[in-house]
Amino acid sequence: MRMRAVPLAGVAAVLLAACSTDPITISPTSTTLLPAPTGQVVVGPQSTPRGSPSAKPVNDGTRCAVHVADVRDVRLDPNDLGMAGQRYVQTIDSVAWLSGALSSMKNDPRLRFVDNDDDAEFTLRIELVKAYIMTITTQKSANVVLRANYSRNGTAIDTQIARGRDTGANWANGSEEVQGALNRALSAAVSELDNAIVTHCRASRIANR
Amino acid sequence: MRDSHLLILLSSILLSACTTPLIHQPLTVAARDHLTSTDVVTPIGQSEIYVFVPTATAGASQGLIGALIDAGVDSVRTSKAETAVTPLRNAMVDFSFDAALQAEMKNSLAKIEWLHPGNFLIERDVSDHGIEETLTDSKAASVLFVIADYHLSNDGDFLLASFDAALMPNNDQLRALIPGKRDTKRPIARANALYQNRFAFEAHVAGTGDRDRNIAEWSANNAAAARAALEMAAGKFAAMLTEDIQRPENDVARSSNAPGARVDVPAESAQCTYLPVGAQCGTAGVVQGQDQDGDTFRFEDGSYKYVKRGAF
Repeated sequence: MRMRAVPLAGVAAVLLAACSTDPITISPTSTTLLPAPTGQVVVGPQSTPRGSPSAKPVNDGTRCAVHVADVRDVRLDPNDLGMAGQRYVQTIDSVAWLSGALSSMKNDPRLRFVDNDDDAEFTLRIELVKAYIMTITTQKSANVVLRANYSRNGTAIDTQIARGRDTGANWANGSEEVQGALNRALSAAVSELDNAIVTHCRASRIANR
Repeated sequence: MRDSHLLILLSSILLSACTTPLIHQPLTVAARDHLTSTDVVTPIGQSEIYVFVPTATAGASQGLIGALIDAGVDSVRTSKAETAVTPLRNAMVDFSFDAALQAEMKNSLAKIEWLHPGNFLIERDVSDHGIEETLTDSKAASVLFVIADYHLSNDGDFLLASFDAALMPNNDQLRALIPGKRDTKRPIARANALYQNRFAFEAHVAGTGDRDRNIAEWSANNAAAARAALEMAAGKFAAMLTEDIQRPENDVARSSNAPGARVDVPAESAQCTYLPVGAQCGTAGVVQGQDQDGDTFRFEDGSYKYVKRGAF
């Protein structure tokens, strides 16, 4: 009897969670960090580099010095993260959420982050352009879009878009599965941005030879 | 005598079963006269365009196994649809449908003096709880909610935008003028609307029968077609709403013998399985008006649809 009651209680809990309409607040500090990228790097097909060469492997052994001057959420409602069924999803600090994920780029041996423009090969201003989860049929899809504005000596030189997406079953509109999906989408966007920065750096060095 | 009464009763029941339920609730003159201020709130639950994916139902009659199979089919379909629409999303990442819609509504509703439009807000929390909170937080006498949705059809052939408008009372004077029986438990219940109607906008690209190619059409030239379609959707909707909310209260729906080209939306059509698009499902409409871009249809349930002529 007890053995049957346990799974039944689990099912009941899941079903009750699915009926919940309470808002979900995403923790800005629990972003799943990706391992540092290794091996060959190719800019993902979703990025739209402007004026940069086509994606090529980067493996030149020297670290690219980058100054991240600004991280901003440029959306109208900065803490909005979409809807999971009837549950509104938000975060209390979207910039902290993004910054936490961006810090994983410090583990990339191809990049070296510096504190001022003089020491950097270029300066980056990173913007959170889209961040949301939505439900489609029995599934949920989380999307995060970052825009990187590159400049050198105060002159804008390029803009790139990096998108991360996570699609999977929507079990119960639960807080943890929603947080997991958004964090994976954010991590994927940061990973793509990381690769794009390295590729950009390489292209810039070739152009300046 | 008793038989004839029974016959009349049966006839009325059968006839009412054939009548399309009305979506349109016209605004009464009495309510209009008491609208001292109106906030216009647009709940939009999406940040980007998506592709409509019909829910799998093949396994519905096969219990848990069938449900799992359907969930697997949903997963594959959704993943493919999300991948297919990504180039279009990337091409219009700087485009804000919310801003386009808000600008059109501001411009159009400003022409209605008695509405006294005040704040125009975009609301991201589209849950019943969130909308109810917006209503109670508003200081205006009434709140005009416009719930919007926009997406591509499953094959990417056409773009559909739908708008669900409802004017909700926010003071006792206006609440006393609710036309039907008031729902005291849920302030945002449809029964409490002083005015409501649904509107849809449809625009096509030259269909190829292939989703990826159709989405490429929408995405070409920095998504020129999709941007133009969404801007047109916002403009045509704002004009339809502005005209409709000013209609006389006895002008509820199209007359059953109204002349004009007819359009039918069968209830079993794939789009009708999705609620916001279901405005005209299972009903028929006739051309109500035309302009240089397309035709406006008015349906038996009082709702409207603007169909852009030709392809983008």
